[in-house]
Amino acid sequence: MVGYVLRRLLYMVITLWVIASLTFFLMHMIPGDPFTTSKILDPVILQNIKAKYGLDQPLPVQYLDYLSNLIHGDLGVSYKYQGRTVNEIIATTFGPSFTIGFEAIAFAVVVGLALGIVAAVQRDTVTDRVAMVIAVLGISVPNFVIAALLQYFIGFRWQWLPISGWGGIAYTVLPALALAASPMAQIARMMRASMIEVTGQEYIKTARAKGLSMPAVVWRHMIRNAILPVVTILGPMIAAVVTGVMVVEQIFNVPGMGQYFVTSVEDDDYTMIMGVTLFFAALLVFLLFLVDVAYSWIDPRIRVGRREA
Amino acid sequence: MFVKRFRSALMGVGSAAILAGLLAGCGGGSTTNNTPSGNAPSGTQTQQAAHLPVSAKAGVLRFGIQTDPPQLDPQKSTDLVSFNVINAVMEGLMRVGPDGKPTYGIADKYEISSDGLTYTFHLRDAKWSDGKAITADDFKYAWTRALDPKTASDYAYQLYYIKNGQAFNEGKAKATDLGIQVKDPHTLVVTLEAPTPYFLGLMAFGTYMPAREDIVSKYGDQYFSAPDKAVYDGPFTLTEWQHNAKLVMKKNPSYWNASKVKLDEIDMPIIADTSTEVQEYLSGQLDALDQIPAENISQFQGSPDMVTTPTAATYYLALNVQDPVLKDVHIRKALAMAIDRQQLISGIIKTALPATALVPPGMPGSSPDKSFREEYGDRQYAINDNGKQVLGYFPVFDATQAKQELQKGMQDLGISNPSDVKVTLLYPNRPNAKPVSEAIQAMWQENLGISVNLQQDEWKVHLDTLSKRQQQVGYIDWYGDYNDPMTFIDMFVTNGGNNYTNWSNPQYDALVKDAKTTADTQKRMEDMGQAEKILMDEMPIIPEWYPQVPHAVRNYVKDLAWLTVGGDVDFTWASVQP
Repeated sequence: MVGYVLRRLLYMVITLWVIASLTFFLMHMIPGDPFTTSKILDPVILQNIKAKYGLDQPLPVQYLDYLSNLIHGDLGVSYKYQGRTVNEIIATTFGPSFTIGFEAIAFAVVVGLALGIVAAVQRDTVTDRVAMVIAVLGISVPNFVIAALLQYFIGFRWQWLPISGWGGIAYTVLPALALAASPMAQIARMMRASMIEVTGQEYIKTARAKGLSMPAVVWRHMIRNAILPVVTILGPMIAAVVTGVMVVEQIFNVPGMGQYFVTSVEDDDYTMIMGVTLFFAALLVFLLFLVDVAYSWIDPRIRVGRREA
Repeated sequence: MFVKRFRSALMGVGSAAILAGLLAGCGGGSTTNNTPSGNAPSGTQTQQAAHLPVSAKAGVLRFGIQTDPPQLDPQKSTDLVSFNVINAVMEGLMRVGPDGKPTYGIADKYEISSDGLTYTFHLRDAKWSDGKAITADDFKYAWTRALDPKTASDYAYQLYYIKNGQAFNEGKAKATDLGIQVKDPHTLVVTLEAPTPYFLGLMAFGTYMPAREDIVSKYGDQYFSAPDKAVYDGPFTLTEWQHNAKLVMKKNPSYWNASKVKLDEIDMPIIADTSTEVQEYLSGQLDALDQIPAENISQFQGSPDMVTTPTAATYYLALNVQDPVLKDVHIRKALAMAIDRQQLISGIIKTALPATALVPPGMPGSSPDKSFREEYGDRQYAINDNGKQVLGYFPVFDATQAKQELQKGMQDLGISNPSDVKVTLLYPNRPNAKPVSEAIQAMWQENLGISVNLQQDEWKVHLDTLSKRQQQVGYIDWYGDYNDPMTFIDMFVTNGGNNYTNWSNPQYDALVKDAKTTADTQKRMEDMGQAEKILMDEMPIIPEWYPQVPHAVRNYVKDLAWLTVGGDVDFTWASVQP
């Protein structure tokens, strides 16, 4: 297990290096630079600015400089928000993004599993139908539409929760709900299908024959076996939530990282593009790793290390 | 794009109903809400309150903006959003008054030498927010810093008027060579390179704000990156800055004119999503919007909340005069006259005036009561802007004349079939650029019968293409830097950095040079008027429209001063009395 983890960590570093290099050279291939504005600068002024940020160096030199700073954990200074470091911007904006993302995933998992289980246990009843209608809506209605509906009804018409902004738990609810809808629906459908499949298995009949009550069978045997496929889709789902954060943050005006991801590319803010891309990449790679570990922990039959024997 | 359109349509349903109610309550929307002391009849107010909720507090202005200020350091800042904050928390030697003319700021007296080259400013007894006195050295330090190549400020060129300013910035002179002299702590003497009649107005411009050497050296590049990393000398101080969330400013008790400042606090929530911003305004969470988002203007049209102010800008098409087709002046004129500007404005832009010249209305002319646009241009092409004449050089739209010009051009070029005249219009992914370009394509095809291609590029790619002069026709705009026609006229000198047209005219260059060196205002304006006429006769650019900025302001907000250059708004005199 330790060897496996170490090897995975090494792969993670290589993955990040490849992403960093690709991003670095791709973004420098975009015409224009951070200081291209509609007011063309005097060449001397532009030269002063480029010299200040080391952009007058040849590209390979800039690349090596960047990598060496990166190894020391220094992501550089933003060109757009001069005077602020990328490290500082990520540090201050990660909190709101993480809060919303975490709330969304927690909500999606809890409610999604509950809906799926209830639907499967009460299969072909009204409850099942209602749960599945919710699930279909969650999958087919995009998050920005859900966001607008939530803003309009809950924020504007009924004034239960703030329309947008940041400052306290009340502000996190609507963005998290908008973000959670799609993964919640997927989990519900997956869990229902998986539960129904498990219900037909011999060991469930055995458990029932032993005289176990239905709730006990569901709890001890069915859920534990049915949940595995759900854990599998959790990885890609986290990736979807991370990208969803960017849209939802903008709509609800959450001061998170998402908008920097989009605007930094438009601004050609090199250090910011690199910093945010690498941070999101690292986060994603790490979360996928956690999912794999969780996978083996839930099902002892899957011992990741065994394959190498 | 789709996301935005869909959402604004969805939001529109709710907001339109609310605004309809608002309009009904205000009797057709003809009441003005922006008169300095105009109290609305109480009946109107209660009716309106029933439709638009009010949760405002007296003395607190909640002013919505759309982006986080990228850079508040006055010597480095270049954008309108940051300038709005800088104008509130800082003050230069002068300040732009509510009437748009420079009034006294930290200076309480000045003298200008008869040759227009030496300005002597006398500073009043004013204090920084930490209690220290503001001295002439604070200005000298700030200006030297802005020009220092090590500071690498984009806007260093805003100080090139100062003697040896450009030379110092280019490393060809020393800081001690600069024409900035501190005679005593209360007297600053500035020597200029050439007579600059608008120099006084520049004293209100962000780059010219003072700075304290002890504070700047303490924080270095972090200066002004947080409320506690700066000192202030303006009517307000910055007390809170949550990036991409909000800024809070409080009244500055140390400000020399604090007794005239009526606001206690300005809250500036930063709301990037335009439909969300409009929702917040309609639900009473904001008292004013810096700018009504383009896609929401039709919702506000007719509402007394909408205030439209001119801005020093012109949108135009940059033609490449070295192009095999566009090298012909008649083709260029045909393209110019075949654009139905009124239709572009009523259908897409909403708040603008049709442009048939380079310099926008509002730029001063030879006398204080006349604007440049009232004085220069052809009277037969004048349009009326609220009783003021706006002169131009060609008809706002004339399909017949456009066809005649096209025929002449085709003869010159030896083309017999209009469809063999092929033009590609390049436009960026910015608001309105796509619908405008599509409309122009349709107008050219319909009115001239030529073939028109469209190509969209990402903004920075677009700018890159234009700066390399690789376009045939390029969509672009220009926002003036200072309150003088020169900020537009000098763009089109031979090889000017922002002259994307490859156009060059020695007579034009000579007139610009003459205007930049003479101290005689009348002569300067004549020179610029003549230069503009040459430009429009040769038509390397096709003016489209002069934008006007639509703001939303609730009727209990008084005396917000909207600016044409150097920022959008000045809060100094504003009040909130719900």
